[in-house]
Amino acid sequence: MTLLTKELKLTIKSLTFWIVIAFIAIFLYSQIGMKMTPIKKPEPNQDSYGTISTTNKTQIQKQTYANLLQEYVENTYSTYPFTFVKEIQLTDKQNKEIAIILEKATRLPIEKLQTSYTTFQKKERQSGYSKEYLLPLTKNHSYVTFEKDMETAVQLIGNGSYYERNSYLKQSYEPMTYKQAVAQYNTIIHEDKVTGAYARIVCDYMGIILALVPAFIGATVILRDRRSMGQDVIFTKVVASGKLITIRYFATVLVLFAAVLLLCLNPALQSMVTANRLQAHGSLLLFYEYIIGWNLPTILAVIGISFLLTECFGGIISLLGQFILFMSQLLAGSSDLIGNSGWNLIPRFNEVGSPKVFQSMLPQLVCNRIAWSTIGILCVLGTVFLYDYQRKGGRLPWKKILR
Amino acid sequence: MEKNLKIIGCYFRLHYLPFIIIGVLLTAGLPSLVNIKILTLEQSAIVLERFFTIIGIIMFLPLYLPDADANILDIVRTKKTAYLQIILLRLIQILLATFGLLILFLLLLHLNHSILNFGTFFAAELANILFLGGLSSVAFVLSWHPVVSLMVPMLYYVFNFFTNEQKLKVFYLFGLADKEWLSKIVLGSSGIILLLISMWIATKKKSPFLST
Repeated sequence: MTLLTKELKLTIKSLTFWIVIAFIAIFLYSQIGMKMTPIKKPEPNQDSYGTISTTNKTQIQKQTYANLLQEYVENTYSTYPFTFVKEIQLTDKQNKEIAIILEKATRLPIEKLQTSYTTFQKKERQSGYSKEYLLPLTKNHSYVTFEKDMETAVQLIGNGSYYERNSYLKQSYEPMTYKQAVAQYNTIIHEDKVTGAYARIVCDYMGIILALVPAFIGATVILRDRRSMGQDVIFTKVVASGKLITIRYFATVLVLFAAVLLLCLNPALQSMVTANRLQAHGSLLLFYEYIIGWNLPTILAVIGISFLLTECFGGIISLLGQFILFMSQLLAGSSDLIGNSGWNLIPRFNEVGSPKVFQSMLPQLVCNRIAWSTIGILCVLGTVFLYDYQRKGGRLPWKKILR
Repeated sequence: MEKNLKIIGCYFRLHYLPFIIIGVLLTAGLPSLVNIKILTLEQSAIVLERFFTIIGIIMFLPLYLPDADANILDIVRTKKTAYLQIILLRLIQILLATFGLLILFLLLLHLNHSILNFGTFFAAELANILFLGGLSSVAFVLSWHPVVSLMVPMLYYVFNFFTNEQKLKVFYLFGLADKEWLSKIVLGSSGIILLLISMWIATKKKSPFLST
């Protein structure tokens, strides 16, 4: 029996693996369900066709000022300074400065703005939040003044807020017209072949959970020898440390990824059925291309990091470290759920459709996925080094206390 | 009495101290990651439930951790001192440390001028910690593996981030801001029941060691 087969069998037989698989299945179906969001052909004169990102300066100003008003009313300003979300409360004096910015931009007293916003919110709550609040901006309000106002807001609130240039430019959008909606629909049918549009949301949810759960399997695999008291015996074998660790890594990645592919079969088939209904040429291959390109690097990275941390610090510290990494990445991406990649371990695309947004994020996403795969592989190399060091009699002084 | 103090001292020095250090560091470090200044009652509840709860999981992990090795467990069981007595002595330390950290975090909230109801927040958060601690303990005695013991409560906690009280009903962890008292009572009592179940399984002569 080859080493790979042995490792595969050991992982498949482990309790950790089955708990992880059960959790991925529960998570995926609780988020996506057995019936995915339908794709509909836009009809003329619909109330709304959704939104699309914009470069319209007036729209950017209206939305950003409206966001500032909302946070002013709630006196809670969201920032992401260390990738964790941090809600900031300003002092009365600082809030007064925010009020002056809003008053200048609208030439209305802050009390009136507050009343207008809270009335709008009440109405929206009753009607199910279908519209967005747009600030009554004064005519000919200059974009330069707006940029200065936002710089002042950043100084008051702190780094990592919505009012940083890159942030508000990326997150501004406008209502889609019928023509734009039809163009988007045609792209989903012909270029995404429907299955691609659904694959992105499946990748989004899978990406979230795969940023954490492989760490448990990785830690179990690394701790297995020590728990079965076979470590000293294995140390004396002729098998090279590099071969042993890389095969273990490969086996763990393989078995988990095979399970992920199987779990994705249901949404993949659902997307094929929808594609057929919309008379598009749905493609299972395209669906799985997304899963491989998007989710495999996450597994490579998380298992690699888990191997290194567990070998270095033991299981508990490794899991705590990875849990902190997971939470920080999750919360860092929570400000923008559609088309947000950057260097985050969890790229977000929480929408069916929006092919243009995906096309614009694709180059960054490719770099992101290559970077995380590389990190995973480098971590495995680090694990090989540490394993070999200990095999030759080296000891990590902190390990005895931490394990 | 002397024997009990010795058991407590050994456990504290050799096993629990690193966890207390981690707990203190995380509690003290939390304000640099999450804002705890001038929060409203609802905001304080959210910060407490969503961020402090995870520290509770860590504090409960060492209840059975020293016995993760089957051989050690067998030796411990042959001793004159009942295994249940040892577990109870450990649990007392765990509860005291958890109380201490929870009070420390509530004090930090208070000192940063955040609004909170001390007694209610303490009881509500303790219910969450007891529930997740209970889950962790049952997972441990079923697998005798620290990874499984950490994994089960962590995954439940993460799942709560992506769901709501409509789906999890009384077992939803983050109901303090919405004043879901029934949920807290159920979580707290379930946590105690889970801890008792874990002790019952742990003290049985043959525990089901599974392949992990």
